[in-house]
Amino acid sequence: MIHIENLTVNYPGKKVLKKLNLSIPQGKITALIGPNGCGKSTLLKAISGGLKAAEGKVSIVDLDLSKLSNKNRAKKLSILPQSPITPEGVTVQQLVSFGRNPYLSQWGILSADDNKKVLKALRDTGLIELSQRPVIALSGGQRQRVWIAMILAQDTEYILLDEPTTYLDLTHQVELMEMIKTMNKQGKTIVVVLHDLNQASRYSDELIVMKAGKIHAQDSPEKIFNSSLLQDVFELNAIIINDPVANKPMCVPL
Amino acid sequence: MSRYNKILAISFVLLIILSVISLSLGVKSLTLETVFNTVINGGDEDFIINQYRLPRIIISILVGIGLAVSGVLTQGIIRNPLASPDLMGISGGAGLFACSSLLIWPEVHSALLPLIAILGGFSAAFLIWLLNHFNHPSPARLALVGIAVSAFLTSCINFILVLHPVEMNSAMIWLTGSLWGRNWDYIWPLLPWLIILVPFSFYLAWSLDLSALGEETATSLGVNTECLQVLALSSAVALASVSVAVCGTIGFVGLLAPHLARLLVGPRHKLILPIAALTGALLVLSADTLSRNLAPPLEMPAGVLTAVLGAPYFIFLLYRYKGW
Repeated sequence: MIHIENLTVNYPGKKVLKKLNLSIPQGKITALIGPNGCGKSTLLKAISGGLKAAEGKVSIVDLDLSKLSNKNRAKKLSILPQSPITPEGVTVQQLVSFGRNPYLSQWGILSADDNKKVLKALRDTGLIELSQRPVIALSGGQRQRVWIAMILAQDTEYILLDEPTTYLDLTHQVELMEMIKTMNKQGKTIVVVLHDLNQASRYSDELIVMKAGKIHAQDSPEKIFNSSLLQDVFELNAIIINDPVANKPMCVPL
Repeated sequence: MSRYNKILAISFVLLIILSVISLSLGVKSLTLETVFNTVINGGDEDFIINQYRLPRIIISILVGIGLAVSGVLTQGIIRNPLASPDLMGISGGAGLFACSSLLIWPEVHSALLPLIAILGGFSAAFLIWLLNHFNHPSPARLALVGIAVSAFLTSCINFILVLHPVEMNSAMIWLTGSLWGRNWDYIWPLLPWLIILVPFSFYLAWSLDLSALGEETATSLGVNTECLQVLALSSAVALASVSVAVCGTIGFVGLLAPHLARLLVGPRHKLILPIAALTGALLVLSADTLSRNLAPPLEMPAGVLTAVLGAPYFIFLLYRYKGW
């Protein structure tokens, strides 16, 4: 369970998050949705420690995350940023092995156990054949799988993903979301920012809807994903139908 | 033998061969046999070989290592292909402090000179930090600010040299970088810095690999990025400054050597560092050997020769990364 109390985050001259209070449930997939600029990515970065909060507290169960060293926090919580930098020349295997950093000394020497975990992450994401290729030479879909593999190698209980499907074609979006579902079934708590509302409704157990730096609504998609919510938050006229495959609410804009 | 070990062995052998050639060539060229005999037993040529050429070769190698490792650390943190201690003005600051202290206070102890140069290097670094602090600089902007700062500091050095006219060769040291007149006395103040900072840069190598993913990702993987930046950049400033304290700004070595090493052995800093260090040593030693032998007994400043190689490469980099 991630608890957020009174969280306020400022960018120079602008309050992005205003005294947020929320809890993210354990063992579920929670999707963060909201219009552009509402603070979804900022919230994710503030949880991961990538951004310093001006005020407030983020804790896992009873553990205040700001009290942990970077390494200890990185053992609890991993994050995939929206557009991570792919360094030139780094191979798939090297990049995935970076995920082991929280468990390594300053010299970065991987033990047999670390190598086993890297190998498993490569296998789980279907990257074994590509493991010696430079990441920069891969397609967008393959590259996103490499980042997921790095996070799997990091082996944290909580995984945060910032718009992981945005730059992918539909096939690879579905492939990635299924991969996230599998990770969740293996016990990981997932928090994911999504732009595609139907994707959010279909794959999440819990929806957090944000508007202008505040939480507008939080509950299961079945309970809150309706046309008045879409009107209020996105100013979108839409009807809701039932997704015949996933049996979840699905919107069709008018 | 792996490809990496081959590259390492070849650069090492090249450095040995070049050192031997450099020992034998000069105003008075000596046979290899005389060179070997003199190094081991002394004799008639003891002064030329053991007191004049040998310390100069060792200083060339040390300075090359210092500048190259400084360049690797700078590029590793700033993630900017144009980042290097001399292009950013660090060397200029170190040079200005070292040269003015020598002219104002000629009897300054030689062990103090690296410290004064480091003070100058950090002052220049602080100035660059101030100039770039208020906006996130693009690589080209950072380089431009550095070039402006360098130009300003070089003109200060010029001004001081005009006020205190010195002999041509010492002026060359501070204006373009030269190893003229450098003997054993200059090795001891330089050596301890390298013995501490070069192994320390290996200690940072793995974190620098992660730092290439960007600050955000590196932090989320558990790297203390602020601490890493301070440690790596301070080491880079110190390494460049102590090199400058001994022989002025030998330009472009801190840019060329890391690039060449990266090209040869890929992105892992643990592997880049030794190759860059050897490449840096080869660059400075070739420049100095040529400088002594192009028109003896006159000397060209070694910095001019590294610039002949470095300046076109710098222009190529600017051209290649047009899209910044």
